Amino acid sequence: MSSFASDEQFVGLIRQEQTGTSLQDRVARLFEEARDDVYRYLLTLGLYPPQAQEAVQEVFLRLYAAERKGEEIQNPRAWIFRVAHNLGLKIRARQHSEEPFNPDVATPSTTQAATPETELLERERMTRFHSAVNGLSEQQRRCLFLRMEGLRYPQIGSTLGISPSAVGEFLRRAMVRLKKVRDE
Amino acid sequence: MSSLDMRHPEDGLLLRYLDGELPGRKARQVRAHLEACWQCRAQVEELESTIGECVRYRQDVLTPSLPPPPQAWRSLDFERVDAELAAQSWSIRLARFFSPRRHPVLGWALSGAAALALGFIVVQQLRETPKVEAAALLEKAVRASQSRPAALKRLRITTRGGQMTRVIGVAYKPAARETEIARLFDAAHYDWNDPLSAKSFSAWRGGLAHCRDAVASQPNSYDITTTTDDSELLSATLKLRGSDLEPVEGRFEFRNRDWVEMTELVDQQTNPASSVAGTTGGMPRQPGVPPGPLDVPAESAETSAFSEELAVVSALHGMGADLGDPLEISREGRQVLVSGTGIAPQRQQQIHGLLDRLPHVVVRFEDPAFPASAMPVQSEPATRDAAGSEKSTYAARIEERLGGRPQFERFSSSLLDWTDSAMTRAYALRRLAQQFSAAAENEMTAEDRRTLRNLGREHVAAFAKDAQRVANTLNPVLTGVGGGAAQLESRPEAADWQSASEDLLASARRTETLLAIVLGVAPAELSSGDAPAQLVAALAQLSSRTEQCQRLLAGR
Repeated sequence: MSSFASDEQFVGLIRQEQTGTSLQDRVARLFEEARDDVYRYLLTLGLYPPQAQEAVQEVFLRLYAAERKGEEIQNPRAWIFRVAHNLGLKIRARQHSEEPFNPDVATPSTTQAATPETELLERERMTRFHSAVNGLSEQQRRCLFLRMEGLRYPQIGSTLGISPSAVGEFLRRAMVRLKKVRDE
Repeated sequence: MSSLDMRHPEDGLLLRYLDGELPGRKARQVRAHLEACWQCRAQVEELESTIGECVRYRQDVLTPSLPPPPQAWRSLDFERVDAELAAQSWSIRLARFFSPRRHPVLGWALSGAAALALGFIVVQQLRETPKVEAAALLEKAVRASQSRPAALKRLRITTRGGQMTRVIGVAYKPAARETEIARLFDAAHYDWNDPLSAKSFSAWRGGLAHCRDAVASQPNSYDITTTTDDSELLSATLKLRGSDLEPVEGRFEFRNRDWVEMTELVDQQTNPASSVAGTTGGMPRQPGVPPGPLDVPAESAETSAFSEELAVVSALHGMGADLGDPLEISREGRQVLVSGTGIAPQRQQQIHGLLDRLPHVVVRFEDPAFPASAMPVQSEPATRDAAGSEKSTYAARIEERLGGRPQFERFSSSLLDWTDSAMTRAYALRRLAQQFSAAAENEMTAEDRRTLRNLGREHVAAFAKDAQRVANTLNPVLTGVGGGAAQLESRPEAADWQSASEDLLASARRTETLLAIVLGVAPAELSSGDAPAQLVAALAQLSSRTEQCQRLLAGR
């Protein structure tokens, strides 16, 4: 655990001293680290690439604005995903579009498999896995994607507006289904 | 409790343990149990291995497959936020200075004017850039098209009901079935004679008093999207090829929720006079929307073609492969092509064994690409201002009524399972309806029609059984937690079972969402907050739509 989280007074002091520039550096660093993850998550929500890219910029600027206004954000990554999720839904609702963005998902053209046979098997396995992920219910998929982005149950719950135990149940159901595919 | 006393933990508990989500005491119990129990350790390894698959899937499949951002990342515009924050604080100070207590009338007038001016400047800044870019790009595209020699253009036109092909550039008399589409475009003052052209797009756009533009640069193309509230056509998107700015794709969304997509065909083998309805197969990408007036029927498909497709569907139905297997049935010339991705090798063999003996049927599993099936689709923007407290109140009330948490979990689990099963049937029925439109059905022989309807009836019967279980289990409980007054939305009766299947799916999806809200596993998106009452209404509507489907399928 970092000293930021372990000593509230210290955090307070740092926040007081944090000038606009140091905050900008921190948000810019976080932006570089996490922007692709957030962008990808927004695509899986059904946003089209240009909208998703705009939204990512907006989310990080909101983080900056929130911190400038003195809001205490314990876990910026979780905060970003929660705000991105809500913003993404709002954009989708405004789209008037009946179809969300729906990309072709393909196996990578180059894999590091030892032989063509193992490559083929790996591709088949991943193809089945992809179908199984698509077969999950909406909430199961959302929980799974957010978990893959490193969010904890309470954070996923707060993003989706459900309880941590519901997150656990959705993830359990998802894992049972995916395990079945793996065993085929 | 010692580790040996503890019963084998369930998957859910093990997963929460692995994810570090168990409280300390419970985690210690599980750890101690795992040390003693090989069976559970093996289960943990299975779970970890599935987690590993998820990580590989994200890293090797999802990440490289999703399109990269259309533009290079810009640095964050912190100055803009600083300026906005400063403006906010300035406007707050201004508002305080001119507060009604100090200068009652003048204060409000001035601060209102300042806010309006500021808002205008910001909005102008945001809007101007793409507007200029879109106008310039369209102008270039119009000039480029004028410099090209006139040539025939073939368009594949897709609507909710099917596909058709149109030839642009020859004397053209619209066929009867196109009248509806043409009328929509006419009402929007968009030239239907040459819809996929920069000139028509530009003329439509130029006639709008207010519109918003967005231009997206792709590696080999530009997408121009114009949205407006001034026209029956709310949004139009034109994809211009990067090399010569020729429009190659378009999408048009109308106020009445109909949409039309068109793509320029470069394949000269396509028969311009033919259209194939409902050959898209696969899981529909946007379920739940009732059909509009734009059902484009099959025009010249031969009776035998339907017969062959129907034989394929019947055979797949016999092995349950029409309930979620990612298979697509389409027509290539005289052959029925069954393509499948993500199918296990053993299942592939079964399908081959079944279909290879049918005439004119080709089965292909060699495509290594993943199906373009639905990425996670946000079915409804359900989390707007989620009323979490109400949601948990419903679940808590049901739990109390049922007598405890274990009873609630059994109740909830059964309902979710039945709903899952019913949804599978609703999708299968809709898929069948898309494959064989009402117009296509009219072309069929009496025997084929009987076969088709039997397939449909089977899906509806299975759906009705599950839906009935859900209703029987839920209704008595819901009346105790506020679900009383059911108000049915009145809709015109569907003309055929194909349309009714869309209504049924829409209704089933609504019910599924409400059920998830009431059970506390989805956020409450309903402004009224009376989810149980709405669920009772949705169940009643579902029942009536099921009956409607059954009635229409029984006809003839």
